[in-house]
Amino acid sequence: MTKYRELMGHIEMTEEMKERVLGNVDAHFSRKARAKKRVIASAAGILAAAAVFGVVIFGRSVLIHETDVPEPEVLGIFNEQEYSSAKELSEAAGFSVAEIDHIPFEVEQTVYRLIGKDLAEIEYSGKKDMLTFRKSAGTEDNSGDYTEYKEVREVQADGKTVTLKGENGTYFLAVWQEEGFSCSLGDASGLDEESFLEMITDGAGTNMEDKSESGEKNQRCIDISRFSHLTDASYKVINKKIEETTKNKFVYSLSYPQLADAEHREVNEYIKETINSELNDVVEVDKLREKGTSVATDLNVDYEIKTKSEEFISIYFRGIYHMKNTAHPVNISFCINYDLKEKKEVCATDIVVDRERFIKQMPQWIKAYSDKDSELSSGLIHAVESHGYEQLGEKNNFYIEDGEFYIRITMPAGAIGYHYVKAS
Amino acid sequence: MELILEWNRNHPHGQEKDRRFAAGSLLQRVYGWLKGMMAAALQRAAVLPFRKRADREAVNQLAKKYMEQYGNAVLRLAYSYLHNLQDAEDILQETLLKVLEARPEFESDSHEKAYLLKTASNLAKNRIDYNKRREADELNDELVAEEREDLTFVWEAVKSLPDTAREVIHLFYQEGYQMAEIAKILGRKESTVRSDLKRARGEGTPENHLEGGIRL
Repeated sequence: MTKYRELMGHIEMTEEMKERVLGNVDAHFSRKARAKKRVIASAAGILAAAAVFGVVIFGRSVLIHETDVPEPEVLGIFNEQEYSSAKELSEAAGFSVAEIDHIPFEVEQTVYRLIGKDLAEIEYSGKKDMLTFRKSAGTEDNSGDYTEYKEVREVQADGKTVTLKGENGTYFLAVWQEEGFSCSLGDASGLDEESFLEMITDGAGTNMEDKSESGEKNQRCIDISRFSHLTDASYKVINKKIEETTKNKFVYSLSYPQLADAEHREVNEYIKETINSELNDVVEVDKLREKGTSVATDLNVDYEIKTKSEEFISIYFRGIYHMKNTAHPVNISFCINYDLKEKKEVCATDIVVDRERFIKQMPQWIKAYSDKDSELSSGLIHAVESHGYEQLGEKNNFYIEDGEFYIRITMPAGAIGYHYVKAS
Repeated sequence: MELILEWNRNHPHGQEKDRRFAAGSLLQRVYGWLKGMMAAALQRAAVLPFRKRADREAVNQLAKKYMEQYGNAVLRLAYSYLHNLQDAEDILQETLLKVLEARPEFESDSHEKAYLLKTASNLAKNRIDYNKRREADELNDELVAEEREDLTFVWEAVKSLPDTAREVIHLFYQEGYQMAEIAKILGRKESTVRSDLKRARGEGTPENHLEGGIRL
């Protein structure tokens, strides 16, 4: 037993104290119940009288007093393990954890720590300040900072949306998402925006090999910077729908978008061509629509515009078709990405700048996408590993939404088909 | 109703009065019926936030359970802030009232305990903010009486720490919480909790010692 516990062992409730406290608690609730009864009786009388005279009152807020107690929170047990370097910490965590550069104070001690199984932390402390960097898979804020700051603002840094928290221009915390990971950087004394962003844009949270092996900072396996600052679209989108039922009762329903202005003739043609090509690839629509064909029963395809800007449009199509004498329907999923300025399609290979590292990072993104569904996660990772991600070279297999890149992974099981994993 | 009709029949303006009294009695009936309905609805509305019907016996049972399981932990935490039994007892009582009024759903015993400690910590800090600490320190008196100089040193050393460091010391050494849990209970940054603990220990001192080499 520690001395402190021995010391505190002297503080104990006496039987008298217990009786006193419980008696007071009982008296408190007894008083409250009586008061409530009185309020209810008189309020009921007033309301009844009001109702008699044609007044209807809704609501109960006047009678309920919210108590100022903390919301219940779930507390877990965390084990902490210290390591001697970022490399060791990365190995233990199962993902890369990079050192922070440009720390604005003199660091005297660095501690590398794994909290639980998957929260990596590097703590830099000096005489005047302390900086804590944290990284974990997923999207939850992992900072462990529960302070309610007066000032919370979002800034863009190197294609990332960084949330800064503090007050009067001094920030104590920065949190952001990166490549399927949640990152946070906390400073005990507080820093200005520039100091935080310098550390973040200089590679905090990025793959360690990016900095140590290639020596090139900010090198990433994908480049989506061109989709970060888009201009609002001035054109309108018209929804087109084709619906027909053939003689053999094959129901054909297809929705697709067309851009309103004449200057967008190329993209409109491209959309129609791509739909024809994609659908014919999977169901040979033309053949099925021929008279007398008895194989297909129906086809239904709809779309969703994921990005609509002056420079670029990203459209996601999904659908389903049924074949006679089959147990399950078949999913259809493809995307159209078009550069409206250059008047040409955008392929995944235009965005993925380092294919090898892209494939290497895929399991981390899949884990973040699958959340806690380990079966889905392992199924998707297996699908990627077994195909060596050849699908990357395919066309129309991604969309861009809110500046983020979502790549399609095809599961071999047809019924559950396609998953779009965020890869940025 | 029978009596009213009888009275009406015997009254000189029987027919007219009969109609008037019949209308009055209908209004009275509607009023009575609505009042009953409203009372029932209000009763439900007022009781619902307590989730389970907070009848007196159930509340008392729960209060007893909290006292048995966490009473000493709450009292000790409160004492670590306030340094006297009377204030600590007040905090214990207020904590029970707050939690019994809120009646949150807990996922486990550890969650329940952490919630009570968090409530007690907030209440004790408010008490420090509004009142100066009392002079009485029963723990110190007891240690002196027992001639436990070693523990008197520890208590004096802990008392001399800032409130923020002392609460961390208490939750770490007394309750065995780790940094992340302490941060959640106190609503503070994990990094500052850690640095408070470090600072209290002082540079170069072993893990279970305070600055100045006093063993915890």
